[in-house]
Amino acid sequence: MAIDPQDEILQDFLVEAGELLEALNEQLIDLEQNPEDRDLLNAVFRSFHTIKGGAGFLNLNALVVVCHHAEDVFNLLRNNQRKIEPFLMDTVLRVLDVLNVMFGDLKSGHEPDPAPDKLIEDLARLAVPGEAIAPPRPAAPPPAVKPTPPPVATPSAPALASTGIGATDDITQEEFESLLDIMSGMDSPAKVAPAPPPKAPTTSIATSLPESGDLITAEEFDALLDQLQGNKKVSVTSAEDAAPVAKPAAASAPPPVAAANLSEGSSSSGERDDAASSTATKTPRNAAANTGAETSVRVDTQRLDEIMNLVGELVLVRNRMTMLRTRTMDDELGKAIGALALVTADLQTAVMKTRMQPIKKVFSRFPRVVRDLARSLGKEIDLEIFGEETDLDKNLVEALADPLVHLIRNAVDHGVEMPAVREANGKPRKGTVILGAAQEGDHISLIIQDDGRGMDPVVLRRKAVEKGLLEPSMAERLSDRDSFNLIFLAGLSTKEEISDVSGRGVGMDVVKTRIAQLNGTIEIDSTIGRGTKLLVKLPLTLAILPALMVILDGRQFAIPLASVSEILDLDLTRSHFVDDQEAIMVRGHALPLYYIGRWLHPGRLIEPKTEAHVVVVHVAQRKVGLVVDGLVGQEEVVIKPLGRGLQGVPGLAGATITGDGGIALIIDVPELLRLMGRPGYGGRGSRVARPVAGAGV
Amino acid sequence: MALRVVVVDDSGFFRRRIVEILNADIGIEVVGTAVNGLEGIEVVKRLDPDVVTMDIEMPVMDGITAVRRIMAESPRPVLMFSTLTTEGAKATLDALDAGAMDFMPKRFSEIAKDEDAAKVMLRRRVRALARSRVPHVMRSMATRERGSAASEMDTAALPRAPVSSTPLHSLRAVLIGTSTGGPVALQEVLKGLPKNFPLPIILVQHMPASFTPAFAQRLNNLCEIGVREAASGDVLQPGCALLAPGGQQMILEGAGAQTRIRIQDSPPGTIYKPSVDITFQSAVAALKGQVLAVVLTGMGADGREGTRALRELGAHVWAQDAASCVVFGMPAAVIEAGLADHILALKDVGPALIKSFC
Repeated sequence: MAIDPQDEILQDFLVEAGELLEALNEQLIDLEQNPEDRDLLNAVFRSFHTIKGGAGFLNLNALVVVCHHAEDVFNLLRNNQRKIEPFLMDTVLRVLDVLNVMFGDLKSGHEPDPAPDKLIEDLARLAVPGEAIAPPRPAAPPPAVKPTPPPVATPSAPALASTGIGATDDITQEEFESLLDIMSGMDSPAKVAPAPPPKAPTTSIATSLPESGDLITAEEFDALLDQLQGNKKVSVTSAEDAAPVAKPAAASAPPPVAAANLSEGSSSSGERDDAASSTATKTPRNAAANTGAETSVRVDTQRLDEIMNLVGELVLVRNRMTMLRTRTMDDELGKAIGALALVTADLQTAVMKTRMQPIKKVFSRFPRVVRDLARSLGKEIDLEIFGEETDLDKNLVEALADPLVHLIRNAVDHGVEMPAVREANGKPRKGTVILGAAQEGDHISLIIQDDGRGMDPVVLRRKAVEKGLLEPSMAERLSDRDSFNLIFLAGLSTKEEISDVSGRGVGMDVVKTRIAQLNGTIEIDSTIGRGTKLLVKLPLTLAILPALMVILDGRQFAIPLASVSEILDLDLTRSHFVDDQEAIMVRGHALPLYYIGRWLHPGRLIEPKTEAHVVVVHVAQRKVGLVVDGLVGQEEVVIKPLGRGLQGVPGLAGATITGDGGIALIIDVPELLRLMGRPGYGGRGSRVARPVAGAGV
Repeated sequence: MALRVVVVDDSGFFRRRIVEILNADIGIEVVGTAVNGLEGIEVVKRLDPDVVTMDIEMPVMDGITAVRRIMAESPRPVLMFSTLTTEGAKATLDALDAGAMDFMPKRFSEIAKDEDAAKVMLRRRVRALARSRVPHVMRSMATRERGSAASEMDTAALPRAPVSSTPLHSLRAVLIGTSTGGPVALQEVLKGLPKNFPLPIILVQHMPASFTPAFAQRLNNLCEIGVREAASGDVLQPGCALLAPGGQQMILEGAGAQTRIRIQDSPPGTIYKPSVDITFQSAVAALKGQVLAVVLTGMGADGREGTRALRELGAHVWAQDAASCVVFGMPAAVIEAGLADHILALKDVGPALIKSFC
């Protein structure tokens, strides 16, 4: 059967079933905690039932079969003919994984493959009334696994058997990694089929696929429309009233979305909801009957991005107008521009809100990740989540998924100790991992905390030196707190145990880079024996960012304000060279100095000035000073992609149009620092040109 | 005026599909939707639709409970959407017990060769239900009379064949054929029969394959006579009713004094699986027409040709009357062809069987 991913009915199904699947993920984890919860059992049963119903309607046999079997199992459960036990949960969770893969197939227009026979067999065995079923290969209890010095490295083999991976006493690195891939849940739906080599690579299918649509509430949409109309008092009641009003807005925003949806007023439904809308138009009085049912409209993400883009343009025009205002003396014009500035700011906020999604979207997969990983490692872990309702930009939500998965896995895998070890150390058997989010001003803070063994800064320093990543002399001077940042070094976070956060080869450095790409920062704090705490800070949105405009070599550049700590005017003739790095003492601490002008003109010598502007930026806890030629001020910049000529140039995050109509490049601070950290950038001139400068004062 | 329909389903996806399909018919208009049984009851009360389509599995209140309440508070025809599984069969039969009149599988491919055929079928069933009456068991609770011309037809005015001259005691079996409304009607008829009912009974109910085992089981539990799903080789025995399995055809074969069952695949082009006509016609040779053929509520005209063939050999033919039919289609076809020698209300069929044979 041909699958047309654009088919509206299929889309409709995928959206509804996708939501159910997401909810199932949470409900199942909940259920394991509260196996007697009848409402929950019924809800799970119904979710499978509904997915099956829709799939049946569309003749998607592969989905029908697997949902049908899952439904059978839950029918027994809700009729008290079977009890929830780990093997059952494992099997049902595998169903979710398989469904995810199938949804991915459908979205990309492929007929999904049938579920693995093994899974169907397991479900069929569970679908007869009876007692707990042991996994196919009898599992030895986790503590019985031979204790190797770092117990973390050897997850209990029997647990693996139940997840479908080969079961020997020692597992190889690859096996462990593929296990982790399976654990990652939603985003890495590696095929769970045990025998054949996985068809789908472990890359995240879900994120690589275009999201079909986003839900915004009717109120938000109305607010947005009001903004576009520049009048908050107009209440949208009917197509006749609203359409003409909306038209004038055409100049500044794309009205098709608005017009299309206005036809139904506030109880409208999106374009996909043709059925409902035709009903409503046929019998206007039904609108009343249906209120409460459909208060949200579905808008294509692309349209939202378009609107966001246009708002970005508007912000730029606003900036330009504000700039011009200072030159004209016209009071009337000044007032108008002032009003424009206000409305633009409101509009920007409103549009941003439509793009906001609760971080729950990402968080919701973690109970599963933690549960599966803990079970396979033989650990006992509670995951505490708070701040799920915190909203942030849709793009951020998606981009955060992978780094967070990694951090959480680390906390479970390497942070929390085995139950026996914990007991021996006087801790409760059960470890706790806390995952939280909170909005702080224009930032979002994420916290990932475990009460595990913590990290030893001494070990970290030693390892870093052993691996040649750190000069011994530097290591001695490194504070404990700064030592934790060593885990972000690319070479350090390998499987070669530092007993702590080791990860999967490509570890924390990738996480850090990803977060830096989102204009975010990450901080670590750890206490041996008490646990580790990671604090991630992110801006609310990616599209518009507040920036510090600086002058370098006569041109404007934008430095994201998020990474700016302070601005200092310093006498650079008083700088020192330490380990080939120019630095200056600020309040008793050495501040490394980078002349970013030299990045533009490598090899050029820059004379130290007595009054130089130094922008202190921070990446993680590392602070450095960027020497700039001049300061312009703070501006909200809209990130525009770079033209072909500049694309891929390291150190540049994009371009923007400044208030005076010029073009400014946006500096990618973490990337720039990495670039300038290399030999040759560390001082005012080339090291080759001035071989003895290292000793200079 | 268009038929007014309310669609109750917790899945937005399914609601939208049903609404699309029904609204595509200019004679049908979906006037409201509800996302669970409780809301469904309210919407039905407020909008007073002609027909309700109802999902079974829903949060807050399931479809069966909702049907029961709708039939008690504001009775009207309800079409259940169910899944064609053993579990689904049980739930659907419960819903029919509760007063739902008909059911459709959620998976259209199971009842029709293509999607369009299924859509046509759905619209036809909704239209047929709109013309029907609430089942008589519920009717007493009805607050007002509903119905169309067909159900108002005066039974006495219908053509009636002369009563067959074949003596009742020489009859060898009772054959019953039914469709829409049949599950409840068969229960009503068979429930009253004594354990020692002297004749074998053959039941043909239009029903999907996955439903007939559960239905036979259910009848067996409810009735004194034995009821089971027929299998090839079964021998007709007094006091035992055999239900034609869904999806296939049940043939009666004479073997001396014994009559056996053969289950076979449907010939191509057969609409009904099982078909009343096919089973009835097989009784012409197997039982020499020495049977009582009973045609109960159902849509369409299946049973008319089988009855005609039997009638020619002197078989007795009873048909259910319009007033007690969920859909007065199959009995009407038999009556209008002049084949029925008795026209009975549903509640009288069982007692008439006892009076005639016990």
